[in-house]
Amino acid sequence: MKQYHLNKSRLNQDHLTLGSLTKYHCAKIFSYELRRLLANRFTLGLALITAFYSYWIMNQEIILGVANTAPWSPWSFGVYMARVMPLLLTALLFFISFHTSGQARAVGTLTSTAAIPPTRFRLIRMGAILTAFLLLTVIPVGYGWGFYAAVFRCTGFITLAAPLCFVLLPSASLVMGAGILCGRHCPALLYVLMALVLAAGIITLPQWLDLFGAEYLASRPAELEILDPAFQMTGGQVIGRGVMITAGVGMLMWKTIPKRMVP
Amino acid sequence: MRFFSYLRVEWLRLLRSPVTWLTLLAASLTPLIGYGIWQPAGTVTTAAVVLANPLLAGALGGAFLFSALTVYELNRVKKYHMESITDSIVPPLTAAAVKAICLLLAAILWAAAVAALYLPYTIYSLGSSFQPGEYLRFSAIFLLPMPVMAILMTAAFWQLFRRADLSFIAFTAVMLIGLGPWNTDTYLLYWIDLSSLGFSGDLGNTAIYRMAAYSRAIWLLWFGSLWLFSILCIRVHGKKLPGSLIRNVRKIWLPITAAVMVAGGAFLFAGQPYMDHESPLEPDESGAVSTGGGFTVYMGEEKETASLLLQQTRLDLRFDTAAGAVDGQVRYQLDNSAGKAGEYLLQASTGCEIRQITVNGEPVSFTDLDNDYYILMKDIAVELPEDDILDVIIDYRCSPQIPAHAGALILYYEISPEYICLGGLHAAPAFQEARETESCSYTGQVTLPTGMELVSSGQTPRIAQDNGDGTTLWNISGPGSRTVIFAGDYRRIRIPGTEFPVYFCYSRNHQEAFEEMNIEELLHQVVTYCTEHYGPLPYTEDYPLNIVMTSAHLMGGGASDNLSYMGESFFTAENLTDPAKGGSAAEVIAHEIIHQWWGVQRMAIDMENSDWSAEALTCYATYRMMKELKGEDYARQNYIEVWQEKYQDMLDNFYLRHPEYQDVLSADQRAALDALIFDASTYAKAPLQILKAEQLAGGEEQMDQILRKLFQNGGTELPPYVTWQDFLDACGLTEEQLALTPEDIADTGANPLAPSPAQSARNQEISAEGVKKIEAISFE
Repeated sequence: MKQYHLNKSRLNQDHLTLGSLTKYHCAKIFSYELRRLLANRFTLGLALITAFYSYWIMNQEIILGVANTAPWSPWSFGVYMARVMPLLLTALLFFISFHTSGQARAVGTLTSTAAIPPTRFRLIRMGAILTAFLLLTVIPVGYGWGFYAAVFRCTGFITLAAPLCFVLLPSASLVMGAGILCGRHCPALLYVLMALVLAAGIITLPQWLDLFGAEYLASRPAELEILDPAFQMTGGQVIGRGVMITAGVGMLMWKTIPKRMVP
Repeated sequence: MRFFSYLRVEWLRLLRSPVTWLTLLAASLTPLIGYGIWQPAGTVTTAAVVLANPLLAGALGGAFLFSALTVYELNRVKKYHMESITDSIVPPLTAAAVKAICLLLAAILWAAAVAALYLPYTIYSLGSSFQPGEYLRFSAIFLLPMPVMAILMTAAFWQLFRRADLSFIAFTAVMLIGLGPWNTDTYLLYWIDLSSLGFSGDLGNTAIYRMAAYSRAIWLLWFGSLWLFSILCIRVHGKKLPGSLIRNVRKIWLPITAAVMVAGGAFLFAGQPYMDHESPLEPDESGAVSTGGGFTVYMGEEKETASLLLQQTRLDLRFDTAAGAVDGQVRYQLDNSAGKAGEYLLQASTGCEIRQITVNGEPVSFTDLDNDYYILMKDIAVELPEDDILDVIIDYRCSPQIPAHAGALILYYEISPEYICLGGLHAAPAFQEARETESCSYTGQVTLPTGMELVSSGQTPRIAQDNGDGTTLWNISGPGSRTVIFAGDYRRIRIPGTEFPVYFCYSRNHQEAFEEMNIEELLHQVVTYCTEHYGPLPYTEDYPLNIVMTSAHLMGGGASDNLSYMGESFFTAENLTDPAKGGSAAEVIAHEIIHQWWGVQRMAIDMENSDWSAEALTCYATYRMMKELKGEDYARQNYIEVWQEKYQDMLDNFYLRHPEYQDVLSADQRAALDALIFDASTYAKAPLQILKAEQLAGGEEQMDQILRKLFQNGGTELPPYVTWQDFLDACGLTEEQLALTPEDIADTGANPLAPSPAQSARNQEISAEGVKKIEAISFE
């Protein structure tokens, strides 16, 4: 565990406030936690697997275009992200498991003595988890955009933000909330969640059960009966996605800190 | 004896653990997912829905849950830092073996319990078609091995990594590799997706069980060897992995056994007998692949030849159903009119092993070229002498295979104790250069297990004798040189009231259901409609039309000589009476029977217009028949609108609208695009053109007269075939008049977002350019 040393000379400076000191600590803790999540073999392995899978999906399925739309259409990009999301969410749960492992609990006594409010400390950790997850998401998003630019000379990426949010936000918030909640009560449940998330990506589920929205994205353009429609969401999808986000955030807020993160 | 003592203690401890019972309970509930949420065996038959899907879901769910249980049990001691105590009581290697054996035993008992638990509902749902043997075999081959493999794999990973999270993740990764979408056309991983194969409820699934058992044997050997190797890696005496490995390897039987198992698995993998070795399909070969309303496969097609004239064929087939093979002898009487000696090519199925070839009594040399190509074919080079008359006898053994790189697992042919489907070159090899004379015919004998009813093309097979050894000898004969054979527990009934003899052959398991459905009435309607509209077929009592229910493994149907056949999935009560499925089941049955008129008795082809074929006329005739039987609205919804949608879907394809991007596609993808064009053109565009011709030629009655004349007289441009020009001439129309306009394929639902007619026309022009480009690539 890294030791934090107070710089006494800085304490004597008039402009130095307790808030500034806390921000300094927060930044240090955040960067440490982030480094801890990213700089390990498992994250590297997951990143490599995500990269390979992104390549495979893009070149085998998405390149053909979804529902007769262009490969770079919001619908096709959305399906692409929906296919890769199970791996990304598995990584997210894996990051959460870092803080519920036996080793994490063992050092919890030490970390709880850090000169920082416990709630802020926990929020920093969650922020680090979220940041690590988003950095991992850059892999498939970056590959997708790079593929479109290189193969199809397409660079209009603004239109792809909507489907990205459609796929990413609800599933990530729901899984993260469930992961934090399960980690609090029973860390082993995190692995069950991983299996469920992966199964949801393999098994073809009905639209109302579809965590990633792939079925909707693949079928909606045909229902609209026009060629190359712009991305849109039905009322049902808005409600469904909204419920998922709300549930995820709710689980995060409700007793946000898993007991095992801080003894 | 201490080992068994440890085993007993560990087993009792496992049974007393609440986690064990929680896992068993959760695993026992996973089959429920298969009843509706996840259906890896598809829904084509009732057996797939109520037998296969639940047990497959249970297998996958059980695998994950038993993996989690394995991680939990193996990690418990380490988690509570008790290893130093337990290692001093029980040797670590022994403890690992004991734990694994107990978990495996729990998995075996669980599989038995789940099979028993879901049995009553399965019996209730399947009714008279329930077969206990099928249920037991499915449970043993699909349900049991998955949790067993999961336990071996996970235990091995834990013993290697000694981390619970990493072990479970590694297990999940391996499962994904085995179950991912890249495995759709191979059986060599631990596949459970049976949707492309179909699961038969009436005619057995031994062909599927053989492949599944073979692949699972490979992976059980490999996972078992991984586990044995991981035993060597168990940390002992406080040493790390390298030190522990060096110490443990002194138990020499462990690495030797592991090596033997790896080698065994590799041997089985490399020598797998069920799949051929053909290369991925190239674009210029893809035009033969079509889907339509189901797969239509013409069996027994012959090629035009130059130098050998085939006078007579004698066939002797002895089926070894237990081994899934047939021992055959085929004898050809050939007229070598060119008098040339040299190498001739024999076309055979990929699973065919030629044992001997004699010509005029003398053995000749031959070379198996091992050049497997689509579909399931290979060539054998044979040295023939320059004699004028060649009496060629070929002895062979044939085991049907499935095609590699087909995009899906497809069972075209099979030989099993419950069912046989074999035909054309897959029943007997034939010379590529041989052309049948007009008087060419075949005779032969077929030896089948007693109890199997033989249905073949040509004359009605007759039982020659009961051999007394559990087999029966049948006599077969017919015109030409090739036959198509089906055999199973068939019941054969005459369809009453038809102008010529028509028989319906179906599985006895379905007898009760068919009697309730009055399936004979549907068949009678189809035959009577076509007879009245186009004319009778030239079949006699000795050479009747046979309508055959085939296994669900052969998706769709086909027609060959006097056989029209379609898969059992189309005969289920659910499919025939479900209004949501429209005409899909009854339409396929009618479609395949109508092929007897358009396709068998009267071929339609055109050298310049590849869209024109018997399929167009058959699709149109089916539509007309359903319109008469079920009304205009029904026919419009299930035929015209389906054609319009299919054709429009092709026109809307991105790469046809933007041909400038086609170069980025791989060869496989362009082949698939080519297949899409062929499919839409054959099964949608062409019937729409005939429909347009009907409207321009003066109506339905006028079109009926035109088609009757074409059927009875044939064509004049390329007799006896009916060409596209023959059809135009008979209708008094030009090709330009039958070109499809946006109005012909428009959706009449007045969608405010639909494109304008001008835009639709432009879209059609662009797509036509795209079609030309992909076809140009295909024919390069």
